Amino acid sequence: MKSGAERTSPTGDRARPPHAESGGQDQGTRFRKTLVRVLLVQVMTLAVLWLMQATYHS
Amino acid sequence: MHPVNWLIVGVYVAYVLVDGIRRARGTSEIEGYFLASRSLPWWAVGLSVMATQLSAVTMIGTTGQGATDGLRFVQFYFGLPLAMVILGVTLVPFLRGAGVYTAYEYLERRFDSRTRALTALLFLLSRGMSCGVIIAAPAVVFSAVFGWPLVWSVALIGIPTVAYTMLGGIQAVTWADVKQMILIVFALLAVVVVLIAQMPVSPGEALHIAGATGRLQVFDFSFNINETYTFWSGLIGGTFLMLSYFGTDQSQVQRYLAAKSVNAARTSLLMSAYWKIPLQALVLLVGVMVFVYYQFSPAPLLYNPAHEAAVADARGAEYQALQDRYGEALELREGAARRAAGLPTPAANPSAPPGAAAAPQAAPTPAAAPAPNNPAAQDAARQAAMDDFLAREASVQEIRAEALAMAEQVTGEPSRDVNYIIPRFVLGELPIGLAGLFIAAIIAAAMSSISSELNSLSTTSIIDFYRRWFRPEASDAHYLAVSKVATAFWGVFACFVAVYAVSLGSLIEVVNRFGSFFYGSILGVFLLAMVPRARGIGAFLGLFAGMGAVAAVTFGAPSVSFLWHNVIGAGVVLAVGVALSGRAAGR
Repeated sequence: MKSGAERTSPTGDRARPPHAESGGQDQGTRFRKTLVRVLLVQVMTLAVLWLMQATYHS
Repeated sequence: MHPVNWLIVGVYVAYVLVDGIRRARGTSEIEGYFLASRSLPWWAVGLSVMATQLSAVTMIGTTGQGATDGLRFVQFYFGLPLAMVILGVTLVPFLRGAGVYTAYEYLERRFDSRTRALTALLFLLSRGMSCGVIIAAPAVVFSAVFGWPLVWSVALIGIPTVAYTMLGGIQAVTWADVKQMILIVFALLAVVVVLIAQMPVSPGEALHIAGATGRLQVFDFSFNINETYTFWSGLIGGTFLMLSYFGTDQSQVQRYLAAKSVNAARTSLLMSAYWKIPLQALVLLVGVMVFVYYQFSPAPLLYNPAHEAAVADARGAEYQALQDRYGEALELREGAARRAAGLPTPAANPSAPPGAAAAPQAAPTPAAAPAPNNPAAQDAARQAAMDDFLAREASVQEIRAEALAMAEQVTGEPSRDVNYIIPRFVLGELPIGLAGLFIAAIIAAAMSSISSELNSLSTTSIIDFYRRWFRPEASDAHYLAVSKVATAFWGVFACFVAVYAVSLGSLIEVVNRFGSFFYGSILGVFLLAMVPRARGIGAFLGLFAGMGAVAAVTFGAPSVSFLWHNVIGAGVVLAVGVALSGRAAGR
């Protein structure tokens, strides 16, 4: 485990998010695909709710 | 409640407790206690994220809202999938890569210690209080329904939760959340199946009846900032709210900091993006189906049994007369509902005007049947039957309003009994065993939210204050022991708030209002962290400016719906933060 000083010392305005763990282009592609899937599921869910409203709401 | 139901509740509570204590073994480091040594699989984290957000208020209040108000509340969640995607791209890699324990710890690295301390303090104050409210909401309902003292209900929910959270840390919290989420979804689906099986109408007819009363209206596309639930407030305001909650609230951030990798953390959030809206629609639909169920089965005049007893005791004759009128109005409504659904009417007089008493021995009168080869006449007859049903429904609601007003006069408490609809239905109408399962699911929903909050309150107390300011160099064993004490402290504090929240009444509103002051503003600080030129002074003063702007909007223009407060708070922090950072850099 890191020492307390290392853990808590602020690195000031130079501190930037490390992206090492976030991967490269492959992850970007995978994420875009996931994004498309999420949007598709949402559109389908909203379409079902819309159909239900259109059919039964009076 | 039947002993079998109690047995199910008892077995569930005992299992959660024993499993939590079992998971305490082998946790000897603070990283294991707070972050499960960053080893949790995405699906466990994803279910834990969903379970944390789904509290007993959802199981009791949201289902009740479905029964009284329909599906439109689901618009509140329209921004959630977008928020999850944005967080997956931005904040998750930020926080994961920084190797922090808390979201606020990152703010010190990016800005300064005072910004970290202020945001962490705001989180502790708000979440400590709201944790008490989360315990209080189901405890109050249980006390009224089972006739217990409030302290018993608080103890039933609070003590086991504090025990397994304190002993097992995030491992116990997350794995309990997984099982609790499965139990909750199973109980909801089981209730839907039972409702469909027990109702005398088909699901299609049930939806027609619900639709006629406006309960299936989901979308409201009006752009009205005074209206809380519209498509636009849900999409825009909801996105900011969800960004604030999932991106800056330690009770959520800690879930994905405990995931195995950045990808696991992102995927866990996307699980909510996929399932939250369908799940919330299911919760509301349960309420809508309960409303339809009560069209064909006698509904209580007052759903809160404590209020019912108090009114019957204080104004017995008056209440009895009201009940008689209510019984007759229910009978007429049932007849109208049956005709609207094309079913035979057993004992109603369709010719009686809405609100009028039916003749005691009224003979069943079938609706005039239009010729089967005339679709236009059939449609007209169906529409007439539906109009009659709506008029009968309005009469029933008028009598209920009188009873609620009477309850308010007698008890001196707000009499809106939406939170009691589902518990009364569960205990009165569900088969033995399933009722116990649903009560266990309500307790599970409460526990899953409380445990995550206690765990995150303890983490913030120790990491952002104790270790940062008081004992920066102690051993892991020391931090572990102090963390358990902190969890116990916050547990006792939350139970204390839960007991007194009820007597203070408006405390719940104060807590919610207080939360909305700073939620969007803290999001603004995190957004500011992504602006390269932003400086600590801009973040710290911007935070105050954001909270001030929300306060001004709240007190100056109270008609602005609270979903927009997060947009205003975040926007002001960003603008003021960038402006002040520019001045600081220029000097």
